[in-house]
Amino acid sequence: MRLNELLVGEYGRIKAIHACEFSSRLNEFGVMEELSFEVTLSAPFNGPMAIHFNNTTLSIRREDAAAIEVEKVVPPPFENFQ
Amino acid sequence: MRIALFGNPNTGKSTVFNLLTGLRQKVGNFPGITVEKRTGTLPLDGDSPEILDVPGIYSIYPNSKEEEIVQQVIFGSEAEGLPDMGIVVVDSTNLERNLLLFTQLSDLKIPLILVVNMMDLASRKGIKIDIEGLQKRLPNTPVVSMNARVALGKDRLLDAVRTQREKRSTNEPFIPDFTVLKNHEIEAQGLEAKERFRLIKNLLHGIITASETTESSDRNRWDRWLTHPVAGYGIFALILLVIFQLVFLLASYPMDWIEHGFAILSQFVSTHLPSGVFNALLCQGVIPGISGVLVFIPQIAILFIMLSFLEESGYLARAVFLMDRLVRPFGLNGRSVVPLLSSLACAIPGVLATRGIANRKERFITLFVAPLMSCSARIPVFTLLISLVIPAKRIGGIFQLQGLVLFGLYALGILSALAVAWVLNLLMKNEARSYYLMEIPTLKPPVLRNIYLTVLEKIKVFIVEAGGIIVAISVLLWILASYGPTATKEKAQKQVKETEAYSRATPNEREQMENSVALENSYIGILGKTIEPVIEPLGYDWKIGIALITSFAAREVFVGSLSTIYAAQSDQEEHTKLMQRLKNEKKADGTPQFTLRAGVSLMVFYVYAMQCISTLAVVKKETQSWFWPIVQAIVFGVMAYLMAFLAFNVL
Repeated sequence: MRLNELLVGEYGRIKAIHACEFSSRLNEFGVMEELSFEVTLSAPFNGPMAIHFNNTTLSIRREDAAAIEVEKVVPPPFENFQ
Repeated sequence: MRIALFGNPNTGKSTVFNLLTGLRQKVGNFPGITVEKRTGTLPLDGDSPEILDVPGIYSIYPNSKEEEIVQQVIFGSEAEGLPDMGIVVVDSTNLERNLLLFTQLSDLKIPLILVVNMMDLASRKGIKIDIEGLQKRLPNTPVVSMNARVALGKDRLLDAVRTQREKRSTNEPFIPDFTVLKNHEIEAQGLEAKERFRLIKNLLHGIITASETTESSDRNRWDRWLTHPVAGYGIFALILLVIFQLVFLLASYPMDWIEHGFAILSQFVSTHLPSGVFNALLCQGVIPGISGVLVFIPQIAILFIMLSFLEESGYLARAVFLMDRLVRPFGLNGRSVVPLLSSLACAIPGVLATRGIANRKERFITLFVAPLMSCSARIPVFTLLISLVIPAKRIGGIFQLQGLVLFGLYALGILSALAVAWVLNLLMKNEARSYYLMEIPTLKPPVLRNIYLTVLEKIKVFIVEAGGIIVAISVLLWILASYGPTATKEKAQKQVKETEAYSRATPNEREQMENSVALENSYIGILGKTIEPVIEPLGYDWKIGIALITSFAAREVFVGSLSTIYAAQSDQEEHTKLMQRLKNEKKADGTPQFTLRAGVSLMVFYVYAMQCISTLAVVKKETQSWFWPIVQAIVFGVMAYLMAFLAFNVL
């Protein structure tokens, strides 16, 4: 499934990031394969969403989030979750 | 010696910079490029190395105009070369991600100091960092733990600077034979980042211990409200409302003092210096010009105090998050919200604030429409015209009609900005896909020193960018208003002295009448008469034409020009006198000049017209071409004309 399909409060782990204009930028943020995260915020009217990982909250548009392949996981503890 | 200060956004880098340099800061431009450069000096053992504050970045590879600057700093423009030393500020709650930039800079062979900042936040989150252990693994980079918000660890940092100044040691390369990738090699940049994170994991292995805390539920509770579909927008609207109430309320006092002070100064100079051309130039050109610059500072300062308060606390990122979806159909980005809000004080800092927008098209649309946001220079014009033509009555018992009209003018500006943005969005080609990735920082109480220094910097930028132009145009306009073809002027002067009204007038009134006639026959008067046929369909006469032309110095000059033209004094007590004169002003056919239609038409004209040469100059600098400012001037000029025409003929 894609990141944009996850709901607020759900947890996920990244399986793959499709190459695009911002994939390197995602990598530089530390967003890469195997990263576990929580979906923490969602802006109204199908606006951006935010994921939380490693003490970082990163906001991303839903259509951009579609470039990120994820799997839904049951809640933490994860190794990289703080 | 040049020391550059690097770090991700929201790591407290600016706090460290302010801590090291205090007021010994200056804002200038990088050679060859037009982006601003914050530097300061650090007094250290009789030496004073230059500290360069680099905008926050995540990597050496740029994603926006702002980040390109950093790249130029790192790789050195021709004039400057690599910095002699780098201080890398990292967020201790997120060491792993922050170290990416550190390893890149380290591989560039810049002698570095690693500042692990916000240690208090880390311990509150239950994160322990073994600084000594990290130091052992990075023997050639002094590692300093700090809590810059309360100046904790400053001495340790200074010691580290001393050490690195002598040793200038660099680390073993993280990536052997590292070569910097080109900006378009995006995939390779991604691979490099992944490789670096693998190395960083090894570096940090056993250094960080985290324990469970309850912080996260706390964090979410606030954010659920701040980004709530209803409450979130309500809070944002409320914050904006409070800001504008405060700007209006608080700024009016210092503005009065400034205007009054300069009026007194002008009076003093004119009576104490020998009269003549120089005296008049000083008192009617230069001093009012400087006053016209300084009078904006209270509003700009108050607005930026509040904006930087919101930014420092982390709220603004939430507003950007909320607004992104709403402004996207107009070709804007959530990040456009900050420049557009700044433009409500003055378009110049607004245009400069667009640098943080990564996508070129979105950035240009934002800076193009920024001047449509009603800036503080329009307020005196609106206030005068509203009290002139809008009756002071209440509607429905609650709302003041005059207040509603002012609100309507602001709304007209904002809606027009969106409309123009929407059209531009259709017209402009997108060179790269727009995306939005933004870190939402933790909410925290702002550091007051940072707010103070930011506001100081914004004021400096305004004075540098706009001040010179406003003063120069004031002087030019004074010349045009004081001189004219001698023959016609003398004839007119003679005629006025022969009128009956003149013979009955007091000496004071006589002088005013003479001034009035002199202005009518000056170059600017002739200019006003020349454009009269063009502006007549909008309901204006040549006198208003003069005021329109003089508004190019700064819009609020309109008020001063009208007082000169109608021979009233411009100081505060005489304000009502000016109003009275304007009310009594009759057209040739005996009907009043300032009717409701003409007044509204004028206000609408001021909502649109691009009467600010300083802004055009800044747009030219930022876009590196004359194309954009010229298009802006034409488009907004045509809109002003058409909308004013509409207002005059429909009402």
